Amino acid sequence: MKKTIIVACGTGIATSTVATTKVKELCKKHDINCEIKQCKISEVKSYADEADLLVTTTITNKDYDFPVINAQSFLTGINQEETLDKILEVLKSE
Amino acid sequence: MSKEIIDLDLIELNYEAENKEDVVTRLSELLERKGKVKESFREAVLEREKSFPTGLKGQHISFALPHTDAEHVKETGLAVALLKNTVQFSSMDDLSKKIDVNTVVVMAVKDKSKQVKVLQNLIAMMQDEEITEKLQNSEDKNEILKIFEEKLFKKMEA
Repeated sequence: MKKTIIVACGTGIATSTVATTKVKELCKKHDINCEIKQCKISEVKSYADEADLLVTTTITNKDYDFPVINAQSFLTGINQEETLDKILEVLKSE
Repeated sequence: MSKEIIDLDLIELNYEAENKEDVVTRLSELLERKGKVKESFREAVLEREKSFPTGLKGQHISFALPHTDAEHVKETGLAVALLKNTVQFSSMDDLSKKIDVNTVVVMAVKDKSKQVKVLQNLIAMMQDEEITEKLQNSEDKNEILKIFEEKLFKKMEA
C-alpha cells in the first residue's frame, strides 16, 4: 500500500528539504512505495486526510491522527539511525 | 546566470554579538547589501525565530540556521558568523530550551528544489568534526570561505 508522508518545518523550505531527502533515501533503500509531501508545519492539516506519517524538524503542538516523528537528528547528526528506524517501523506497519 | 551564494563579504569572523537579534541583524544586513534579500528579510527572520526557532545542538558544535519565507529573498545566499562569544537561540524542537551557539548561518533560500544539495551539504558540514574544528579555529576569512566553497558547491543557478 502506498504511504503518504508529510515532511514539515517552519517555512517548508530549508530543514524540511534536508529531512525529505533522508526520508526519500530510506524509502528507496527499503523499497517502500510512498509519496512525500513537503510543507510548512502550518499546512500539515490540509494533508490530514491522506497522511500516514508526519516527519518534522520543528515544534508541533497539535495532535494528529497519524504518528509524528521528530527529525531533528537529521540536522544534528545525533541518533540519526534511531529516527530512521522509527520512521521505518511506521511505514512497515499495517 | 550563476551567482555566488557566499563570498568574503558574507562572512563575519570573531564577531562579538550581544544576542541573537544582533547577529541576525548583522548577517541580514550583509545579505541585503549584496542584493540577496529584501528589506523585510531581517524582521521576518527574527519574527519566525520566535515561533520556529533554529538553534541546534550538534555533536561537535552548537549552531543556528535562521531563515524565513522565500518572499523576502531575492536570490539564494548564505551569511556566516563565527562568534567570539556565544549567544542563546531557542532549540528547534523546544522554545523553552536554550542553546548557546557560536556559529550562525543565516540562510536566504529562494528556490528549494534547486538548493537541496547546498542545504544538505551545509548540514553535513555542521556535523563534521574536522570541518567544524577548522571553522572554529580559523583566524582567516579566506580560509573559511575556501572551506565553504569546497563543501557547498561554489556556484549555482540563480
